[in-house]
Amino acid sequence: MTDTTRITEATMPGSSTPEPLVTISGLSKSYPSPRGSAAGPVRVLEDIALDIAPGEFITVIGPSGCGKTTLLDCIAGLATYDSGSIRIAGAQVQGPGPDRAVVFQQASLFPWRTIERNVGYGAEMLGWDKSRIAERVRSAIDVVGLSGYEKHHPHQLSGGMQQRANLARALVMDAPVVLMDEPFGALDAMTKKTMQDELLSVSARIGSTVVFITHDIDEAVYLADRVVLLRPRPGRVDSIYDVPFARPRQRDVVDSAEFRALTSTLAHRLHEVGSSAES
Amino acid sequence: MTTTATAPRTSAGRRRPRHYHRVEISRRQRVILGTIGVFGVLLFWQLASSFGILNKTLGSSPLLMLQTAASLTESGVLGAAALSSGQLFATGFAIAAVLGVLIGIVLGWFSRTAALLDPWVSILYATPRIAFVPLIIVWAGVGIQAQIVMVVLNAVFPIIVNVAAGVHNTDRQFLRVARSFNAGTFAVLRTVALPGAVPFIITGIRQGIMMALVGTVVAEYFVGNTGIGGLIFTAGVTLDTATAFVGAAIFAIAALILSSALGAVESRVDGWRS
Repeated sequence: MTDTTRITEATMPGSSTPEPLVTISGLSKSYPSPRGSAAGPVRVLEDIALDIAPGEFITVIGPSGCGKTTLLDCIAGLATYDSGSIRIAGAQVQGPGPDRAVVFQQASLFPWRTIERNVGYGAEMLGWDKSRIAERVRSAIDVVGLSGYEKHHPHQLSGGMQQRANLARALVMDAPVVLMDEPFGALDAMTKKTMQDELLSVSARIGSTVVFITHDIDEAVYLADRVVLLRPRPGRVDSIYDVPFARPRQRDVVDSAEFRALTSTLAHRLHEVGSSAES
Repeated sequence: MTTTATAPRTSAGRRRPRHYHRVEISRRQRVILGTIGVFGVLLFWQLASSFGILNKTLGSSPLLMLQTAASLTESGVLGAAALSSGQLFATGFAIAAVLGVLIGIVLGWFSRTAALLDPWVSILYATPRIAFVPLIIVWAGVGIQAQIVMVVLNAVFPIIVNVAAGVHNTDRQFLRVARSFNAGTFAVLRTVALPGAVPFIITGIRQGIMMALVGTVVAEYFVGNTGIGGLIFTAGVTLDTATAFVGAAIFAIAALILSSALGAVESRVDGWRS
């Protein structure tokens, strides 16, 4: 069923196909049938298979109901699954762990904590000593451009700045895998573009592996090394697209014919899998 | 309470403006009017007593209360009584606060334990606590222990109920965040459930303070006739209304002071909400 379209082979300078950091295979999950309904359990994910190389930036796109967020929750260890496996550096995922950090759709900062104490939350939970937390928090806050707002509370910051703090909180622990659930979905167009560019420069600097969920095709292509398109009901990998543009990526790439071709291919396929699921 | 949106028409058919809301007044105006209200009543009371409209023995008067308060203070009776009441209140409230917060957390966090114990909390909370006084005297005697039990029993339930509600209503998204950042159960409680429940905890403590004051008076009435409560009770029996009024006034002042002190604590620990 999986129709994998490889436009170019992912090439890593100086190495042949590297050992994947994240290995997802045969991942399936269903929710019990709704009470009082004759239908069986609802399949949300079916036989998802995906290998993600170290340092790779993957975006996941798909119509609503395709299980994007469920997939992310499974990788994060926030949701259980019925069968299959998720391995990170060879180790089976069993609940949340320090090797993964999540950037949530809503900033979800604790309103009673200052920005610096929100950003340091993950490190605090891992029991790092205070001086190490302070140092990492300072650098993460600097990376996302929130210096000077350390002592502010979240409600004193704009939505975009709160998302920066949300991102910084995930960066603090230097987790090898960063999972992002439509983090820029609620931002206005201008802020969104700025955040995308900053995310690209941050991820290039720290070399994290990123799984980024979005429903914005331009965003998916602009950010990714590979775009994974899911089809709904049940959620399956429909196709995977390699994004051939060089890094560091310049904003004007979005005006290139190649970019337009890729986004329109994606838009077309997205429409197809969306409407086929409706019928 | 049915108000229609259309203003009544005058005979000329024009709309007459009408106030549907209370008129907003400034804080300063409110303070001035409040002061006038308090002293107006006191003055009226004093005049009624001075002109013999009110029986001095039964109705006392503000001046008589001041004189009584002065002489009770001078003899040391009032100070000793206030100290005794203060100790009883503080001990009972402290125990109730610790117990109430702990039990409240357990009931708010563990659904099965809560389901098991909720009926009992409701039953005990709904029963007028004064109904247990004879039992408490049977079990705990007629000393300070029985008095403390009465204060605790009065104060603990509003604290339990409010803390449990606060912990139970922890934001689900915040729980996800905490779990994803490797927080264990205890860490989630400490860093998410409790800080999120602060407004509920403060409400519980506020109600607990007022109920502990009630408990103090009840305990002093029924056990040992100690403290300010005992002073009021004895004064009532001997028709010494001025002393009874002084005692009641002391409880009123204590309640006001405690309430505003709590307000100050609240704005400190919960300052981010402002």
